[in-house]
Amino acid sequence: MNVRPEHALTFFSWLAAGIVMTAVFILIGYLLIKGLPIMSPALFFGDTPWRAAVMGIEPVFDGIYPAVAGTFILIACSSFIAIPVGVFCGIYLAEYARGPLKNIFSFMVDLLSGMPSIVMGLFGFALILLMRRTLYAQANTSILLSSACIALLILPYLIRMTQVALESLPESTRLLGPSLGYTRWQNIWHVLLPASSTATFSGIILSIGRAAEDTAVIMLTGVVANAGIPRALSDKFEALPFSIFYLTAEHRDELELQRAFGSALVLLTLTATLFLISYCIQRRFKRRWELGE
Amino acid sequence: MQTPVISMANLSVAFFGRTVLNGIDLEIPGNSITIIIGPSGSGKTTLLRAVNRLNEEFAGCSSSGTIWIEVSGTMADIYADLHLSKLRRVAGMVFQSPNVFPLSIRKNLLAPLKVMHSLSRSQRHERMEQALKEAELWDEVRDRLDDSALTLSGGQQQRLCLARALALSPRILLLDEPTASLDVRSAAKIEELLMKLKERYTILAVSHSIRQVKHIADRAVILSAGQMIKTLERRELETPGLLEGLVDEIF
Ligand SMILES: Nc1ncnc2c1ncn2[C@@H]1O[C@H](COP(=O)(O)OP(=O)(O)OP(=O)(O)O)[C@@H](O)[C@H]1O
Ligand SMILES: [Mg+2]
Repeated sequence: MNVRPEHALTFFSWLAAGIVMTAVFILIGYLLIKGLPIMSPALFFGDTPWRAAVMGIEPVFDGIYPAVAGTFILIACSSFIAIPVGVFCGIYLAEYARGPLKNIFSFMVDLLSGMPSIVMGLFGFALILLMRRTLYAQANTSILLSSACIALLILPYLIRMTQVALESLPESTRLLGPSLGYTRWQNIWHVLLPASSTATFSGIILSIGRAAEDTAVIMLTGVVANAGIPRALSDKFEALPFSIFYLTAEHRDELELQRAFGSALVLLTLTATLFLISYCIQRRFKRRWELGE
Repeated sequence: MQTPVISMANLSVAFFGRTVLNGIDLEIPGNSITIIIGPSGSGKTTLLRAVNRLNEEFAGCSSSGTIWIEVSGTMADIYADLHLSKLRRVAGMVFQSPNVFPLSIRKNLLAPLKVMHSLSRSQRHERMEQALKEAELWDEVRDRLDDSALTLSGGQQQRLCLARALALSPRILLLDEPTASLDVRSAAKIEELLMKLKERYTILAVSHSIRQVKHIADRAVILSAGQMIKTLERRELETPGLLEGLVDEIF
């Protein structure tokens, strides 16, 4: 290769990496500068004593604690629905679907991943309207509905990541199980899934992030300001991205804007913690597969 | 001839309509080494995979004809009479290039045992040790069973694959160029090992080396473009120049 393009390529790779790193640093730095000063129990619990708030004895009116809890429950519920369905769909697409059926199914998944989140929210909202008119007059938007719609939103990531992870395994790895007498399912369960687990877990991490940040879906399906902590899945709820949105949009003084930054910092910390947990689970899983008995 | 352990009648295999094996008739007696030799792409690997029905794992494969293998005294049709999983345990396979699980050495043997057999933990460990000894690998790995199998040398990995197949107590060994990627010494070691293993197993192997065929084979099957050209028995293999002449013709 000519020396000149070689240098240019190297330079641009470095430059691109540099730009991304700088952007991330500025973003996090700005959040820290704006958000850190406001970090205090008061940001989370307002005037309510924190013990009473956490135990659920006294409601929190002026803090973001209910929003933290709401976001956490939302992520947990939507993951609970979407992860098994997504992973098994991915397995189906990679290992079982063949021919035209596979093409049709793949197209549907693409379609789903191209769906804007506001459309997903609209769909959830319309579903409630329909239910009110037909089956169940008391139907209302709730954290369960939001979780279901968010699950629909993150499904395509899970499906695709699992499918691609499985399909990119080398032929030799695929043949090994069958050559030892493994049935198809034994091969998938004991060899192919563990061997591709790193990429599958990336899909899970990606979708947790997506579930944590989405605002459009929940705005139409059950989030409200000052809902408190949901006591049942049919309750309305608060969520961090929504809190950030309305604190910013309707701030009357500098303090409220600062609280928006504080909430953003908390949201970032929450997702980072979840990422870390998923990563640790993945590491443990992989180690157990490699060494355990 | 004594009763065969593997018997193929009019076996043909095609991938996407392109014929790869054409009308193979072959009988393989027990406790012997049969080596398939032929140019690259002549269908050797496909012939091995026909015995454990591994060709079916590939898209576009269609096969016809019949294969019987001897299971507890009777000849069983591998399509009609044998469960696929059982067939593949009876006919253990070692691939052309070393193919270990990216797991510890120990787990490479224990994992298939756990999935395929309902054995107690201590029975599994016993089988593992026995198989590693049989593949003459035990002394080299006994102190590093928890290391990744990928840290073994090519020849050691090939013997690990052999041990893994042996642990599942097969009757037939399908060995696809077991010495292909090995240096002379490791190859000689495996050849010696095969001479011992044929006392207990029926071996069907692929080789590129005329020297190896003459050295260890009880019979050679010469394959060219999916056709069986000729089979040579031990005493014909000892005739100077006969195998060389046939091989020269087809390569
Ligand atoms: N999965 C597959 N799909 C399509 N064609 C295949 C497949 N496997 C084998 N073939 C074709 O069948 C023919 C025989 O292949 P095979 O692997 O049996 O050759 P071989 O004799 O083992 O060659 P080598 O000595 O190079 O290993 C080749 O032309 C190959 O392209
Ligand atoms: Mg081959």
